Amino acid sequence: MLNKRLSRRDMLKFLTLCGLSMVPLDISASSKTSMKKARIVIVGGGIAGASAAKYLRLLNPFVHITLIEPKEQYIFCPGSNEIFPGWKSVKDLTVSYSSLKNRYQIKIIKDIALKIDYKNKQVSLARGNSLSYDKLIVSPGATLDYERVEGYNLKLAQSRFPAAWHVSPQTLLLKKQILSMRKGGTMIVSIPKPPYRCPPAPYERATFIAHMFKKHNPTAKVLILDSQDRFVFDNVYPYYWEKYFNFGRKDALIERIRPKDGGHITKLDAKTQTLIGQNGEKFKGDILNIIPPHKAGMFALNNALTKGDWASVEYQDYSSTKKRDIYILGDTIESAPMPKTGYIASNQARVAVQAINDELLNRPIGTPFIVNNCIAMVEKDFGMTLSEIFRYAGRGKQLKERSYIPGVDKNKLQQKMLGVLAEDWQENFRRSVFA
Amino acid sequence: MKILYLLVMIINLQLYANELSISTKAEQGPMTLSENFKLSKKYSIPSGWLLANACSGCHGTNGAEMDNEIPPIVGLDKVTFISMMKSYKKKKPSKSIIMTIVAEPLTDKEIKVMADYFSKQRVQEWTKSNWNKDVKTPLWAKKEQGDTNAK
Repeated sequence: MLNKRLSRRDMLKFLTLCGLSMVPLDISASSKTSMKKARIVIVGGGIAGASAAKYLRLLNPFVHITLIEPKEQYIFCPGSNEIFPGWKSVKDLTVSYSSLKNRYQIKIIKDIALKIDYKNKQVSLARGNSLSYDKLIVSPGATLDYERVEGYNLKLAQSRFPAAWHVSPQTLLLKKQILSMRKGGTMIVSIPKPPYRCPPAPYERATFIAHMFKKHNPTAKVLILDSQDRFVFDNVYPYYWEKYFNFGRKDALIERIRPKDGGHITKLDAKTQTLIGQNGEKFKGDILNIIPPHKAGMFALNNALTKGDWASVEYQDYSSTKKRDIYILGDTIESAPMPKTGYIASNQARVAVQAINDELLNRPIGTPFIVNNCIAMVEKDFGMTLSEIFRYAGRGKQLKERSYIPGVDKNKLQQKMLGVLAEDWQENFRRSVFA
Repeated sequence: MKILYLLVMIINLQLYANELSISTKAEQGPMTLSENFKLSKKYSIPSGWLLANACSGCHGTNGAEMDNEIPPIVGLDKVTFISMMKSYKKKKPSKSIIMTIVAEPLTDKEIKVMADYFSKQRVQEWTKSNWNKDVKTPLWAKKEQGDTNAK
């Protein structure tokens, strides 16, 4: 038995505690029995997996929900570039699983999921035992494919050239390198071809670091080597860079190399600290921050859920196009035109768990609805925002996107307010998933 | 001939200027607003729960996050919710750029369903004050430099 059995009275009490007493329990006797037995297993407790667990519980007080996650706590990536200038600490971004466990009655198993036995509907764990599932939600996140940049690997990322693309010891190593870089040195931020996690994040990182250099190493430079021509917020960042970092001039604190000028990096020469572009262009740096290309999480890759680099899903309910009773969420899926963001992952989770719940109750699956909102900072008193909506366009089809990214506002107060809201948004977002 | 030469010069100059200047204009697309509304009519409307909780990333679960600048929307009466969203859609109180762009692609029907959902929720702060009290600094981050941590 995965969860301790809960009586209907316990559950009503629980619903009241959640403030959900007004949700009608339109559950027939027969589907109630099948539901009580339903075992939902979730692999991976990041934003997608944790959202799936919490919001499935809000929809359904009866099902057994088990979350398999090897880490004790989760560290949010949104906001993590603020660790470099010291606006946030690692702890500020860390959350525990205790609300999921205690408030939402999710069974948390601290282990690594290995193999899916599709025939017997079981998933095996590293410690040896297996778990049976009726529905399996797969949300392992993205794998950073260090070796796709020739000459680069995890070991180098942990020692000399931190990618710091997930919050990890690499993040603090990179911070240390930034603070101790020689006067007038060059830090390179290399950006891979999309899709990668959080499209504006590399530009945010470059900007925050330029702020740091401006203060204590003003002759230094951040050199962006870019694999893409256009980027999210390219109607805001370059304006700001020009105004505060002399962007476009010789003494600029930030310089950006486009793909046609060698910005797309294919190779690292670790010995000479040089990055090499696709036509042999060479860029030497004091710090090399290589953001590696991404691919699906290893759990998805190892269990035949992928086509090419990514897991493939039906966007009405995020069910796997390859295996039955499997749902795949977040950074691990082929999701175009949706970018890989935490906000989207949490909305995908709600679409999927609603569909799972509908199926358990023998109801037709509804229309999905995905929104992506972002409030980001260029600096503390200069924020920016975007909003995207992704609409259903039929089974087997990609979702369709409508997005709006405001440019720079002449009203400085507007920009300042967005900066303040960016902080509040991060905290609310963390709570919407884990609290 | 001279006029033609001048015209070419002007066009060239403009191209040059475009190359140099940095655009700070709003970006929108790839669907137009009307394509977005047309597509929304093709399929049944998403559930109130899904529509409302698409807001939860900013306003909290059930719109009930209450302790900072982003206002709660839980329990808001329908008429107020609808009139606020409609005025955002018209870009009228432009003081919230965020809500203006969030509301823009939503249909009137979707706004109504959201209003209905939020109006029926109990007004109660979602997050418990102790929700993350037991979090620990990761071992590897214990030596993190806190000197620049002032907010």
